[in-house]
Amino acid sequence: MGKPILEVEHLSGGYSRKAQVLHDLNFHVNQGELVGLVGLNGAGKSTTIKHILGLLEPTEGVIKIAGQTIQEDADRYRSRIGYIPETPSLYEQLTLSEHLELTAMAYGLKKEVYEKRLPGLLEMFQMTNRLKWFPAHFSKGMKQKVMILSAFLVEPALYVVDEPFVGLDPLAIQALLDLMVEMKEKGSGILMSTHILSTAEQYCDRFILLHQGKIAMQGTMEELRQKVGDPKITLHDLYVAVAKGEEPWKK
Amino acid sequence: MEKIKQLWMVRRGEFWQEASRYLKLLGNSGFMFSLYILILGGGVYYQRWIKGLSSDFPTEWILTAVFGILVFRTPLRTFLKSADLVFLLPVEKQLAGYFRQALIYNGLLQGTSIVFVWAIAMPLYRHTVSSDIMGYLIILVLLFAVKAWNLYAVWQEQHVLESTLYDLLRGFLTIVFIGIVLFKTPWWAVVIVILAIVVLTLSIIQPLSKHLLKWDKLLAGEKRQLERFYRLANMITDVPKMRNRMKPRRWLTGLTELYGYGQAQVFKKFYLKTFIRSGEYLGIWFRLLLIGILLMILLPKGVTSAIVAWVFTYLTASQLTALYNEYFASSSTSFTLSEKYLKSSFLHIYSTVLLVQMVIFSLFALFISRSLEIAGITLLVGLALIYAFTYSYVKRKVNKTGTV
Repeated sequence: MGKPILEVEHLSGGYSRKAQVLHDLNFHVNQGELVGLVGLNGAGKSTTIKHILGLLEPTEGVIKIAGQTIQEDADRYRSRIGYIPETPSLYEQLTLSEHLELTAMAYGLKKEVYEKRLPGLLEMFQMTNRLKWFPAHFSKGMKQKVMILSAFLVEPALYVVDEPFVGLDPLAIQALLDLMVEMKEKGSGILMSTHILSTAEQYCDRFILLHQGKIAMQGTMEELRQKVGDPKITLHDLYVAVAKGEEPWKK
Repeated sequence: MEKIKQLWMVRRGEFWQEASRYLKLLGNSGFMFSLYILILGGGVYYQRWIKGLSSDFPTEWILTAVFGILVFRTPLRTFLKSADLVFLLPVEKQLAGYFRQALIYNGLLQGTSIVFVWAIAMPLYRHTVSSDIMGYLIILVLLFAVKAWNLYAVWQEQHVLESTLYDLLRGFLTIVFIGIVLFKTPWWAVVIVILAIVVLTLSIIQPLSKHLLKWDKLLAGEKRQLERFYRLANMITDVPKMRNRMKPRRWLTGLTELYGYGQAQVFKKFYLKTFIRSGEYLGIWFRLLLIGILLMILLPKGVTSAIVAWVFTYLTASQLTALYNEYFASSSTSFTLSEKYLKSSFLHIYSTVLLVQMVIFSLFALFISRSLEIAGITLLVGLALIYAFTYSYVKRKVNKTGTV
């Protein structure tokens, strides 16, 4: 395992001081590691992600990417993150290829690198002949693919992926998983929130179970099983128990 | 079911309540003031211009074209909302009354604009065609009749997705009808055209309603109309609901390639592409250019040309500031890293677009007044005005509020 690429220390926060959503979160994502962020709707997954992206400011705690906070150098901090949002957001007036080109430009990617990476990615997601299309003609899944393509195009040090599977066709889901494994092996860290627990269990190295803004449990599947004293429990059953507030680790 | 009966009144009321807020703002704005001046000035010149016309002026041709377009263009306001597709679709049959009221509403509205334009045309018509007031009024009634037919046909066309052919036939007959009315052709020509209209209606237009009503088409039409209104309102105030219609205009895309590759170019490309494709920005720019050139031709040559150029570039400038907000229309974080270039790139594209307009105006000033002096003054003062407006007023606005 590599060094931590993302460190979250004593993070508390939310949309306002009065309505805090997150309470004292501590976790990290290492280089070459895929970490699953799991929790019910409203558990605080998206809020956590927004804090990591620097869209919300913590009321307490520190978030570092490659050892740096966003206050130290916002551009460097942000250039290390590739973000795949839960709801794809695109510009109606830009084609697929323009979205990708402008993203590559914004991230300061060299033109040769951009042109070298693009064809393979497009092919993986069956978007090669859609380069000149406008988002108005894209389905939800295709819009999601644009976000995925943008993120993997820039090959950042940290991927923040928010519920990526909804709306994707099976081929695209497999392509995304393959890509995540490939990037992981190249040394990137990935934080992925999802509700598809069987896939998460299969692919993630570690898990963070979020419940009501607090980390209920975290660790590898082995560690989680040890904590609850059930060597065969699936992530699904564990998650359901946590979500029901059973606090299974106390048993 | 009582609710469905009242739905039309409720929807129309909702729209006009919202509209009156914007209309009030529009009435008090500088844009309207410029418009009044233009109308007043235009009116004086119009009267003077008519007096100089002889009776062989092609009034009939011009009026045929103007009213042909005015009568043929029949947008449908239905006040439908996209959610109606879920909630009202099941009660489509009970909405017959709703749609009837919508057609009446559209007829009244579009009829009003015909009266308005016909009134403007009155001095021209009476001076060059015929001073007979009865004939003048009869033509107005006939225009109403053919408008009503257009409305009916457009409604029937809402039952099919592909209606280009019907539109062509309808447009052709509409223009021919207006033409024969204005040219006072023999009675049998009138009879033939009316027969053609009746045959078309009975054989093709009327049977269209055996198809299902195409809600998507109705909704798209409503959306277009609503956007038109919001675009107008957006000239003077920020309209939160404005969602832009996008036109690819691929033939202009090459222009955006003038800006190369690199972090500093992101928003130059972004804003130029947005200007070209999104909403009405290019349309406004082009229309004001066209009207300006037309005025240059009609008004006395000389300094007037320069003033027209400045006024119309100013009108363009005041409407294009909204372009800045387009970046914030999406919550995308893809371009965040280039944001340090956002404002300067916007001001660059904004002033460049105005500059191009001013250059074209100056070329026309040269062409019309055949005076290098006039053209030079138009261009130089124009550029100074654009620069001053962009880098003082607009820049301050952008810096202060974040959005324009």
